[in-house]
Amino acid sequence: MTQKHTILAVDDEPFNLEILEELLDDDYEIKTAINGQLCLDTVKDI
Amino acid sequence: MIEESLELAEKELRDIQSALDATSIVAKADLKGTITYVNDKFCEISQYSAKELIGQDHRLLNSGIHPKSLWIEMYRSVAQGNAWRHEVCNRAKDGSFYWVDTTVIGFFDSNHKLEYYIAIRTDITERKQLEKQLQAQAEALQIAKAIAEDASKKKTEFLAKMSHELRTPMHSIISFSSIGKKKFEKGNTEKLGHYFQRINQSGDRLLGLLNNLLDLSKLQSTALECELEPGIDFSAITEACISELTPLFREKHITLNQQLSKPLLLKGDSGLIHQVIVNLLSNAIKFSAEGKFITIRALRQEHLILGHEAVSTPALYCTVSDEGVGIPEKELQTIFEPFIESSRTQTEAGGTGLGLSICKEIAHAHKGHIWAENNVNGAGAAIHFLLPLNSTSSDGGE
Repeated sequence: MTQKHTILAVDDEPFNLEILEELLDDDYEIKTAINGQLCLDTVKDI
Repeated sequence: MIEESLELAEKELRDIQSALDATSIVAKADLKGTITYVNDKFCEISQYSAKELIGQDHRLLNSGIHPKSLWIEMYRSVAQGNAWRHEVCNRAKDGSFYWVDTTVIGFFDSNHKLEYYIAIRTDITERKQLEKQLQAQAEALQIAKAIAEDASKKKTEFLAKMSHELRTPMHSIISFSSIGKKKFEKGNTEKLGHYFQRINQSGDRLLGLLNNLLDLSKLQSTALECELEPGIDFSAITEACISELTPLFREKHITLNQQLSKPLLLKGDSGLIHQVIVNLLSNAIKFSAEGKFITIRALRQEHLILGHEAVSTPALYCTVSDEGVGIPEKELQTIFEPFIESSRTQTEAGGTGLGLSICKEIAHAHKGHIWAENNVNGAGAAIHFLLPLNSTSSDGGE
């Protein structure tokens, strides 16, 4: 089994992030960020 | 025979001069610029008598509005034997200005030496005034055009933002229902309740947005004047709003300080005033952390200040102040525009971005003024508004 690719989804609407998680969760490792700062912080962690 | 033809020539000259005098302003000046002859038309327009003018320097009539270079150019041109023509503004005896289309011609003696000047002028004051009016009108038109273009641009921006705001909850409704439908078809019912909740929340948000949009467009399109009823009590409306919002205050353990003068009677629409207070208080709750304080203060003051102008009308001065994150200085004005929310609160607040726009429209409909400030001690923001009070009924304190 191959390792899942990671996707970082960034949006200021929490529901949009939830929808993306629902749609992509089966095939990808999903991370989310609600603003620019959290996006940069998350990128550092990956 | 010679005498006869001389007489005829003289008569002809007199006729020409009388025709000239009847239509034009004529003056003669010597080489120093001293007036040596004026006709009646000259006296009429300049308001001086011939006696007052003859022997005077021609600069007596100078309005001072033309540059010196114009006169240097005139003397040079005339000395070369050319007729010099220009539109000139002169000053009459009473100090008023008049405009004349001026032609100056130099006359030379038999040795080709300049001897004197004759100036023939036509009154063009009226035409100049019309030109000035026309220019003012053109400028006013230019300004009106710029205002109209700005309004049209704002409307376009508003539509673009509105479409975006409507699409977001609509997109959530469609996505959550479609995800739920697929799971249901596969027999997976585990998260269906959660999806229904999201669809419900998005529907509420969409409805709230539509309601706000309708409120705003109604406020912007109708003259409210006729619907304002005299003698509504601001304090009583505020107390009703506070009790309506009590659950929200309790939920976040927020303490509300109230300072309300009673009564505060004003001419207005109680439903709209209610909307302003609820909007401002629920904003304050939304932007406050748990356990903080919110203050609402409504006092009577003797002057209504609109912009830089103080009107001696008694006014209601109301402030809603919180201990939240405050508003960045450059956004203090823009937060009252549709779909502009403070950059500090945007993410979590979940507002429609229309609440303060509605408050502003309502304040204006009541001939009042609303503005935002950050609290001096650096903690939180305050929204202030001034509304004119009923000058008669609030005095008695009945």
